[in-house]
Amino acid sequence: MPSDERIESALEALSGQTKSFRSALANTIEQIRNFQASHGSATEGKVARMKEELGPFATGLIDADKFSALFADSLKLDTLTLETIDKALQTLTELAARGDKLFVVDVAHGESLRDRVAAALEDLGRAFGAARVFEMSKFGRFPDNEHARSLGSFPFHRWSRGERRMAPPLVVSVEGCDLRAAGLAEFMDGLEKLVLVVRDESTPVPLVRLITPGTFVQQTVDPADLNRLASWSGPGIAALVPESAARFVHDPGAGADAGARLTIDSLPEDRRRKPVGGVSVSQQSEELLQLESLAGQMGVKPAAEPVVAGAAASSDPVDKLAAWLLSQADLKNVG
Amino acid sequence: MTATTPASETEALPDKGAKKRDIEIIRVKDYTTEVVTDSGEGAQKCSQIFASVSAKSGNGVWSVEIIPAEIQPPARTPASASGNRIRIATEAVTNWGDSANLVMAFNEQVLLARHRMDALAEDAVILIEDMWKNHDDPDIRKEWEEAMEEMSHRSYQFVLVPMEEECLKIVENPRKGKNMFALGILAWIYSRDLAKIREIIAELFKRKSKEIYDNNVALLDLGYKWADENLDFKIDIPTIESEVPRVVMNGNQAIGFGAIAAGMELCSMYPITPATSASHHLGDIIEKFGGIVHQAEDEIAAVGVAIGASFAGKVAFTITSGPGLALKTEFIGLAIMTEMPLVVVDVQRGGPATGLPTKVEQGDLLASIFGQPGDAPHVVFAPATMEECFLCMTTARRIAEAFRCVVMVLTDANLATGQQPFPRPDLKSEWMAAPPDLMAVPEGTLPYDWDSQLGLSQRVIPGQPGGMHVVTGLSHDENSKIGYSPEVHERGCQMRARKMAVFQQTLKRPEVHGDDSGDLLVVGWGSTWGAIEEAVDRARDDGLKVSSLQLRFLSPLEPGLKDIFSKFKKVMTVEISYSDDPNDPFITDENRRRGQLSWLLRAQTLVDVDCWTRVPGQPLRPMNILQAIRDHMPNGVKK
Repeated sequence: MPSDERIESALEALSGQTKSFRSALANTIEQIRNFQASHGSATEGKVARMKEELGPFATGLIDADKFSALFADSLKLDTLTLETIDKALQTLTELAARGDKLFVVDVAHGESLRDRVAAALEDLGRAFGAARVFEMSKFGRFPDNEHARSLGSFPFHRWSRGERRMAPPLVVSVEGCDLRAAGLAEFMDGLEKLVLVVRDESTPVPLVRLITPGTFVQQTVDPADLNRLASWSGPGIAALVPESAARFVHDPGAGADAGARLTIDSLPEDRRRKPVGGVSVSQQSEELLQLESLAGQMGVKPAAEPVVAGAAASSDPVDKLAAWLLSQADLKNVG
Repeated sequence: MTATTPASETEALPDKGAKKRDIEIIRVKDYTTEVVTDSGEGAQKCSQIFASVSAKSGNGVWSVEIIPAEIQPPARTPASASGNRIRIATEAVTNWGDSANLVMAFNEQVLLARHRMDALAEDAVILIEDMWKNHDDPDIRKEWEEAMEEMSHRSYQFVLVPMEEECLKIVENPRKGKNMFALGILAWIYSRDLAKIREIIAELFKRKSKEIYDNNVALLDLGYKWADENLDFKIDIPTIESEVPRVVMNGNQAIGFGAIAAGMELCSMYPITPATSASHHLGDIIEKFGGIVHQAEDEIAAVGVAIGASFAGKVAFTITSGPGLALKTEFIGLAIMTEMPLVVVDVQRGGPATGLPTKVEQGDLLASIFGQPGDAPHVVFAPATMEECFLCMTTARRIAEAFRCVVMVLTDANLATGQQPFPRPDLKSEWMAAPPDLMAVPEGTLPYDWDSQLGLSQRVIPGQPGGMHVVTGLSHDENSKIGYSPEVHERGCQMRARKMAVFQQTLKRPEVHGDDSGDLLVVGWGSTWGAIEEAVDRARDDGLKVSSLQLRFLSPLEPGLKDIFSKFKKVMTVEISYSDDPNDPFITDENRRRGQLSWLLRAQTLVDVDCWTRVPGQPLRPMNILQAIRDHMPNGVKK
């Protein structure tokens, strides 16, 4: 994985959410261990645990062996169920052991960004699968072999609404040429947050296609700006882009008024384009126009002096024509 | 000044200027101090700080509040005596001792109150405000003279202290500052660390202005300086290095902190002396741990909220005192009938009715066990120290949840307001235990799916899938449906009683302090533990064949009592509850009212358990218990 200070900064910005996820992991592990201690087969373990639960005041007053014997068999579980619960525990323990690496994804050159993110969430989702396996196994309600499916992988599309509210964030290092963000739209739900740390040049507005009323979308060069993403209580994506890209933020929490949600900090000065990865100049122009169009619809004025007077943002037919021509200037390279 | 002491020596200390004066160092292992003032003069604060800093210095400490029955009784009257007794020792202290060796008195009337209660040692050193002696008001001068006359047959050693005069150098109203001046004097006498005291003052006055803090510290320093310049004795109570870190707290704080350590989420209460301060301590911090203190509109609502929270799967408790317990009676019955886990803390005070609101008594024992219509089995136990107040909350929670029952914890005003250092509890995650399992209830599970042998049933939370059910205070069947046949009520009673019998089987036989057989066995419960064992140890040192037994579990009772009793010629309870003196007029063996534990033990064991009880509104003293032991020895009195 490439060394990039921005990855550390992004993790720091998302630390509240990563800590919550890890804390939930630790709590579930603790719950399973407690459950095993009181429902497992080792009598000594049950007694020791009961002794602890009764506390030091009970020492010398209550016989923990007798006390424990009254409750240990209140819920009888078969060996297969206990083994399944143990597998769930192993899954959670293995995930917890990875620390912050859990939340970092490196997309190698040429790999599909969407597929790598999907795989990472599928892997992390095993935590939810394991929790489900544990809870349902306790009551013998888990379908046969279902646990193997949930513990081996638990893709995003199977996550419940509650699980998506606890979604782990991801920091994704990706080359600009592989940054095709539209495919990430399917993950923008619950509290899922993605930060793309972009290596090398990218298209100017790679994230614009993800703007929807309830999704936080941000392009910035400064990791300190990620605090806004972290504090948004909904799905969101941010990209730490190169200087040449547009900088904007679409913050659904900024106000009910659509105009308040989008702030454009800067647009690329250099309008001359070349294809980046598989994204043609035309597509890039479309994305720029889309941002400007949104800005126009929302009545947004860029925070900084606008460098480009986008045709779509203008009602002047001449401007529109000029913009169209500009967008068609590099037709030969359209892939 | 010369004091009679076990060990004393003198050493020369530099006085102001060049001259030196001789300071007598009184080296003792056990010494008791009282600060006594008119109500409202701050004796409690002064004493609490002094007790706390003494404990932090490594001494064993046990403090007891001396509180008037009224909030603001007439000043300069014996009834107004308010203060604190602080027993300090080299080793751990378990009770307030016999009498005070050193007294700081703000006027002669409050001192007289303590004298009349025989609370002062024969040779007690008394530092007393001197302004009353030569007061402009001739009535006051006369009261002073009469008080001194009344106390003159004792060998008290008086030191006149110009408290008013000195405090006026700092504050306009010395009534608001004498306590800190007195604290400064005590700090000098006992060589306490002023920096530590300042830290405690800063904490206490953190919500006040800087000026108030500065004035208090200035008064503290002034008292220290005055003592340094004018007193010629110091008290040295050696300390033993503690191998473990210690904490200092009173019983109410301990109950509060213990509740947090036990993972309790809701304290639902209504203010009542002396229980209220537990919720104050708890209210300051419980929200940091995810819990809340709910002050309800009255006692009944308070316990109702706790029961409701428990029904919803929360860990709830309520805290009250005698009159509050009476008001909660019906709802506690509901919790028993519905088998709702509930912890009820009763900080006992003198009764009946409003009784002695600020003073200790162990008079709620029978009410707490039997104060219900119908048969209402539940658990009642009593911690004996501040440390046990902390630790017992975990046990209370676990029993309540495991047996789906009400657990009553009986403390008292002695434990509630006294301070004691004890090893810092080694907190365990298991104490907090996992919250109730809210997963789906297995199909067919009934809300009261009693095990016919054990009377136990799985707790079902209504929020669980499949767990929805209605609870009722009416007699009900396993499905929580109102019973219309005679068998239903019979079976419900049987199951609720059975589980208590099962719980009793998990209790261990209690250990006897002293020999397992002998002439006399003294049985006590709750906060009298330390005083009883100290008295028994002294009696044994005198050659008496006496032992003691301190019960924690009172309902159900700990096992093996009849067998233990059978090894002694006589069994006697020592309690802070009322009993008739058998020699009083009209009192016969048939009509004699006995100590409450005595009643209980007689009924349970059919052993002729005698009792020695007192209701003085204060803790029992070892020397009084020792005398009672001597008086009750079989085969004649041995003095």
